[in-house]
Amino acid sequence: MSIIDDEYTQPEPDNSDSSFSHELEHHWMITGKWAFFLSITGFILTGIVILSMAFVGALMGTMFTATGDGAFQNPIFTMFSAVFQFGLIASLIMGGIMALLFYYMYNFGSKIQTAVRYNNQQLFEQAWANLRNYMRMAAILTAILVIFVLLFMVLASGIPAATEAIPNQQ
Amino acid sequence: MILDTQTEEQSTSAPQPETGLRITPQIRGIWTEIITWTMISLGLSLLYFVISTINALVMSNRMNAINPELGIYTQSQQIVGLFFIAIFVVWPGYYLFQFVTKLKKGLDNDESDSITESFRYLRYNYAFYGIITAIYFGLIAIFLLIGILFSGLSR
Repeated sequence: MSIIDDEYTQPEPDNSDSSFSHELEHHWMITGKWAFFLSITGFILTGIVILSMAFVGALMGTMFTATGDGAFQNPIFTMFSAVFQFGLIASLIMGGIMALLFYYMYNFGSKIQTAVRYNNQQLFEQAWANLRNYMRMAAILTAILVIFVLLFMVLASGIPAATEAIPNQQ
Repeated sequence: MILDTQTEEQSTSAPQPETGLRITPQIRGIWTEIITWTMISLGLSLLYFVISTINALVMSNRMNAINPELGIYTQSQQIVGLFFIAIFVVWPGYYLFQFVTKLKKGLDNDESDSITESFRYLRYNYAFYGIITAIYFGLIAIFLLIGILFSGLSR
């Protein structure tokens, strides 16, 4: 007996498929619990990363913009400052994206547990929609990561040629 | 969450269906999308790890050829790196792959056993990452405790 309702059949009484239904519900409950746990730890880690980046950013910003007679007026530090600011903004954006990813996971974990506990079909559908959004976003992020790695490889392969082109100063 | 509380209240007050949760055409559609996106994600992850591993091996070999004293990512470190990739990437990736293939098979052939099996693998995948995260946080807690203890002893 199939547990799948298609458009042309009416829902059947659950006396026929209760055994695997319970097993499935058990899997969904455990998955939901782990997803909930992972999303909470993910939120904590994202918060720690954003806070530490903000803290280090503020510290380095103060250091780089110090206007004394010290060594920080060196142009190399100005360049580092620009690079660091770019890194700070990029990591904040990444933190935001990670938070959104964990939000989808949190929704999946909490809604699937509630849906299974109260037999709520609406929440059940919302939970799977959230898992779909999570998977979709993970796939898009992985695609971006692959593009960055390929770009890095192309740039890195050009470095030896570029260093050979620089005339020897000594 | 307000939304969750509201829906929970609605769900407890609303009349409950006699049957359990049903796999409706909407759920079927969502699961089909999950299969597609998970397969794309798995394929891209595999590509990413193959590219980055080759990249790391080539770069380290090139750097070590220029100056062997640098010792950047030596052969033993490469083996350890590949071992960790195998554990943390291939193992959960296998669970996710099993989830996707069995769910697809179950949906295509209306096999409830395959669908149940597929969600078992999804559960394994989440449990794997959950246990790894718990170990990670446990280690952080242990190191913090050791740090606090040693800083207290050194005074």
